[in-house]
Amino acid sequence: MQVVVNALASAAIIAPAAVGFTLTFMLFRYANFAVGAFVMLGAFAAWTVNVTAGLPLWAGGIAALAIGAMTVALSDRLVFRPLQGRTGATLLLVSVALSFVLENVIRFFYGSQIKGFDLPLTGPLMIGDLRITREALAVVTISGIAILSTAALLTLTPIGRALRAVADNTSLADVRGLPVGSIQTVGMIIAGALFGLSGTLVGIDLAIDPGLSWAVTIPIIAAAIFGGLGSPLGAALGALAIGFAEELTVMFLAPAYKGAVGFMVIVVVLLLRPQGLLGVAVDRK
Amino acid sequence: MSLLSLKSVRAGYGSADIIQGVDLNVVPAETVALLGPNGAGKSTLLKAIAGVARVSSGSVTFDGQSLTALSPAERAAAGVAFLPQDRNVFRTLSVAENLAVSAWGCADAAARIEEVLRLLPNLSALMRKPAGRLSGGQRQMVALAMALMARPRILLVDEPTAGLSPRLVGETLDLLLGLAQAGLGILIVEQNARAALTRVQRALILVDGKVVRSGAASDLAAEPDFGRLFFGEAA
Amino acid sequence: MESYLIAILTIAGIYAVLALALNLQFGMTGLINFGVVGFYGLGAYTSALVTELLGLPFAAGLAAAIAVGAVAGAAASGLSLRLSGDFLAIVTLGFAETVRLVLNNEDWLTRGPRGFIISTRPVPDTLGRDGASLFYLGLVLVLALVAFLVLERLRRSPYGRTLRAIREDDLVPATLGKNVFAYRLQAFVIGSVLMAAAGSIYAHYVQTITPDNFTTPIAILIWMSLVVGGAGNNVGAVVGALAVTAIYEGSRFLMPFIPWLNAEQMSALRFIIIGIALIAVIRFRPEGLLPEPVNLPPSRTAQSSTSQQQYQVTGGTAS
Ligand SMILES: Nc1ncnc2c1ncn2[C@@H]1O[C@H](COP(=O)(O)OP(=O)(O)OP(=O)(O)O)[C@@H](O)[C@H]1O
Ligand SMILES: [Mg+2]
Repeated sequence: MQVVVNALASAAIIAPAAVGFTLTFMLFRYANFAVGAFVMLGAFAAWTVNVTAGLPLWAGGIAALAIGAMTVALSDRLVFRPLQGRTGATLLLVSVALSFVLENVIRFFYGSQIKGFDLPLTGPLMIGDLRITREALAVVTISGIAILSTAALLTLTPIGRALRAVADNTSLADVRGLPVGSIQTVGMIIAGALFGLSGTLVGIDLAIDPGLSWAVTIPIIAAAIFGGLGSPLGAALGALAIGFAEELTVMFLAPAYKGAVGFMVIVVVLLLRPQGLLGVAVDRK
Repeated sequence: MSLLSLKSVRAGYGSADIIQGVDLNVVPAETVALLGPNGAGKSTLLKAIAGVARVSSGSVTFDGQSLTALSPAERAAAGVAFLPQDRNVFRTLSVAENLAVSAWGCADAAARIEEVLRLLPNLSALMRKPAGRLSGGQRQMVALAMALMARPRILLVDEPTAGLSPRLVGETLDLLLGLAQAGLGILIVEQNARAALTRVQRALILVDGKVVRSGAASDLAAEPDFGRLFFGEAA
Repeated sequence: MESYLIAILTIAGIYAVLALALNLQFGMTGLINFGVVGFYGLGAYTSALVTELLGLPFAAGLAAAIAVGAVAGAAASGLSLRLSGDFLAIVTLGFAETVRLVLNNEDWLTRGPRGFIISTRPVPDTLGRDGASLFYLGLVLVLALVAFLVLERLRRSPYGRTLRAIREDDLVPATLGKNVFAYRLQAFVIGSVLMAAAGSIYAHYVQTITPDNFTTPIAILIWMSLVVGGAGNNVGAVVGALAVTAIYEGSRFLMPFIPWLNAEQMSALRFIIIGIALIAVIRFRPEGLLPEPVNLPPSRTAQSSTSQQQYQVTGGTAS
């Protein structure tokens, strides 16, 4: 049972980012490897508001959402849009370069020392033998709400419908009169906010430092691949799978190899079911 | 007064011009067929008017206003509705969502959907189905309904009957071309040349990017070497 | 100063080998390898372990590194090559990260972050300190030259043409009955072998290796070398490696001019500049300094002029 609780908490951290990554992939058909850097940026934004400015963490979380959304939308405009029409490989490479730049921008201003949020000390809740920290409870709740709202937004609202239409067939969306560019920007803002949220959540659980960016990139992408890269909800389920695999690794192998779990899951998915858990085969232009 | 007017249009993809100087006029309530062999450039010409293919020279005017600087979405807003030859519905969206999303920015989307369903009543039963799971004929109807959501003034239709049974070809063309009675101009690309010529008013035959013959549909249908023209041997 | 120059040239030579290897994988065949440092590090540690723990000579270390590089390369690419390029990218990235974790955590074997000390050197004992570094530089240059000649020959051969055809369009060679998967696998494995060999040479050169010697910044420098030099062009890869090493090392000398930055900020700033430069080159000069030589087989050139043009436009960055 304890494993379930811990796995849920781990999954809750990366799930929003995995949903955001999938959204980006669906809209533009390229894998944005800078996800980890956006998450790390979110963590630093939250930390700055929480520790430097001394405000409560929820305010830091809001700042993280805003910074995440802004950075992603900006990088989309300045870096990725001008490269539209280039191969997926090119965009992939650029996203890695961007990630490297962002990581070092943070290193430049904040240094490499490990940082942590300023959180009031609270005892864990005990349900029988089960130990649930209040932080974990908050992380799971917030993450769950974020994912459900994203799902609701995509399925129930006009903008969500438009986002799915653009993801489905960009040129038809254009011909049918949809403002494709603006809709894509909205999608990027949503994805960016989700990255920022993951950044805040990851900071509650782990130490914050610029190297965080690579540490989370692989599990996030692994979760998205597990979910089939075609459905945001699948990505959330993928995050659950990664969370469980990570907790089992921590329990039965070595905690140090938690970081290799994402990679192992990808390997297993590729060996068993290349199209992912839910998705159909990924085809890219 | 002509609704759509093309003068010496050259158009294509990348640096190559597929369309090499085409003049064309459509007036309101007029039905015009664009015929020609495979690869003649029919789809390219429609795409050029819709803004999807590049126009390198010449003028495209709609209702007296030049279209060349407008994006596909702006042309759609101006009243030009283009029905592509393939991939013309959002496959992962339901039929209802396909219609709703095609009325983007319209305050009266619900009213428009009702209006379109009155024209195409068969769609009512399919509203919840994902568009990717429709039959070919159903898909064409959905694509047409989507194009009509914008209340266009001209319809550019690319092979709406491809893959349909002979009976359905006639029905589909009747339905489509019937829309012109309400004042809509229609430019239609059709492989079933005979079926088209008996139903449209005028026709153009495009071979290798040039109009080789144009005139009243009945005249063209009566031409003795029509088949030869159509298959492009007269270029 | 002179010994500093020799040291930089030695490192540049090793980077040139890495860039050449990546050129075979990405430049010529279109395979994305974000795990360059994984293969490089694996080669370094394998060679170190074989020579230090088993007491075998350098040649045995190098051979072991090559063997391990081949196996790792075949495993990583065999797993993901049937799918779109994104999968190879994430698998290689994950592979490099996993190698790094193992190197850091298996203290008993690798001595972890404290570093692994290597005393075996493929250098005659009679040479003095300066002589030894010159000798080593010569060794690196020989490896680089061999790698260059082999890869250049391969590029000009029908085999190289097939690889490029695969890069441009999977369908064409597949219909010719060529086994696209096998070709890609081979290209990837040859590249990984070279990277591992470079790792071995590097390990016995620096004589102390830590997991930190094989992290992302090095991978970025190698990618930068290839993209700046001109993907698909072997001369470009070498020139790129020299240029990037020169700029990277040269920027050290800027330090006295901006004294208000600490060492950490200085290094971050260099990486920021490198990252931005990489993005800028991809955007504004995708073919790099030396564009890929266009020598298509006549049949393809004749077939269509549009495909020829696409070839040139995307040559530097195609997948
Ligand atoms: N996206 C494109 N990029 C480059 N060339 C294209 C593109 N689409 C079509 N072509 C070329 O343009 C020419 C005309 O194609 P087009 O699709 O307009 O023909 P068509 O008359 O509609 O033929 P069909 O009856 O087969 O639909 C063809 O030679 C085709 O290869
Ligand atoms: Mg056509």
